[in-house]
Amino acid sequence: MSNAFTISVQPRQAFGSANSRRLRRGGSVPAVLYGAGEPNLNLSMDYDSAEKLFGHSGVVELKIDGQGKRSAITKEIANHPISGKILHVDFLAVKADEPVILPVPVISEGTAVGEKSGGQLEQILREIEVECLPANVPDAIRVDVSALELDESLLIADLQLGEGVTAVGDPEQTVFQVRMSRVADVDEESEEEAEGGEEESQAASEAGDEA
Amino acid sequence: MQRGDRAGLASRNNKLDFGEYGLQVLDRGWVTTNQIEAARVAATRHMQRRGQIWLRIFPDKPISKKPLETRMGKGKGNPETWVAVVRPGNMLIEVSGCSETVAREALALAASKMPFRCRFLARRQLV
Repeated sequence: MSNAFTISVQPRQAFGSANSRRLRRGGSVPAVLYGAGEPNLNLSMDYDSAEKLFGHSGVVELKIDGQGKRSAITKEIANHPISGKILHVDFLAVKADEPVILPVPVISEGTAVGEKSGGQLEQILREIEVECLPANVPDAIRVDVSALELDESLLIADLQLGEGVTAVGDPEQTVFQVRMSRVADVDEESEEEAEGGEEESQAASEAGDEA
Repeated sequence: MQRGDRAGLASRNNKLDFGEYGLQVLDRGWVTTNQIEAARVAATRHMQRRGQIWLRIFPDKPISKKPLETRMGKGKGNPETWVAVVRPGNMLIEVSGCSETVAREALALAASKMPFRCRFLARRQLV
């Protein structure tokens, strides 16, 4: 359950956009740590360490130079809109005995029964918000969708979230559903149209004969 | 002329928010209603109505034009068309419910209807 990993960060004294830009040119990423009732801490970290945070939803142990360790979760990663490079990381400090609310990705496993009969599996929610203690944060919620028939859906309430983990928000919200592919509908419609068209043309030719 | 500002990069609508795959703009400019509709039709036809399509831009800026062979003056021209302002990084179209190959082909057709460079994006997969 617990998927904490440690990254080393350095306290940052130079603030502002120009200094942050200089920092990025040097292969580092500016970051900030806030929350848990303590003053904000401006940090910087290696770019490689920042990349490890992608897809990681659990607790991160921050080893701060000269200030010991702090537990945090990744609140936000700001990316450049074109290059996709990491520009800044927000860390939210957490306490071990206080529950946290954070989004966790949902991943489907298996092939739904409904898919074999022409349906299409649609994932409505890609991540759901869960509340749990920092030690219990799952890295992802893996959902077995193999029992899903055509026109059936899986709701948040149907998910197995694990011990100590509860979903926040509407339990009736759909996460996965299997629906008939629209291609099949179109084929049927076009066949009907073709048949209708033939009948009409026959009727027209008969009317022409009578005239 | 007062044509509005389109400087900078896209500060919002710059991520895949709905679909598995998307088309991202790399230049800046205006996209007219006709271009948006042509791109939508091209992508939808290629996907044979399989899957789902999201249009992430909307033409909400009216563009006026003076008629041909008209002398200057006599007031502003009439509204002729509507455009969407796009900046580098904006998402144009997102699709899901199809294979990556089909999505790539469909979005390449849609990109060919656009007056600027675009690129294909796929969501980072967690395994």
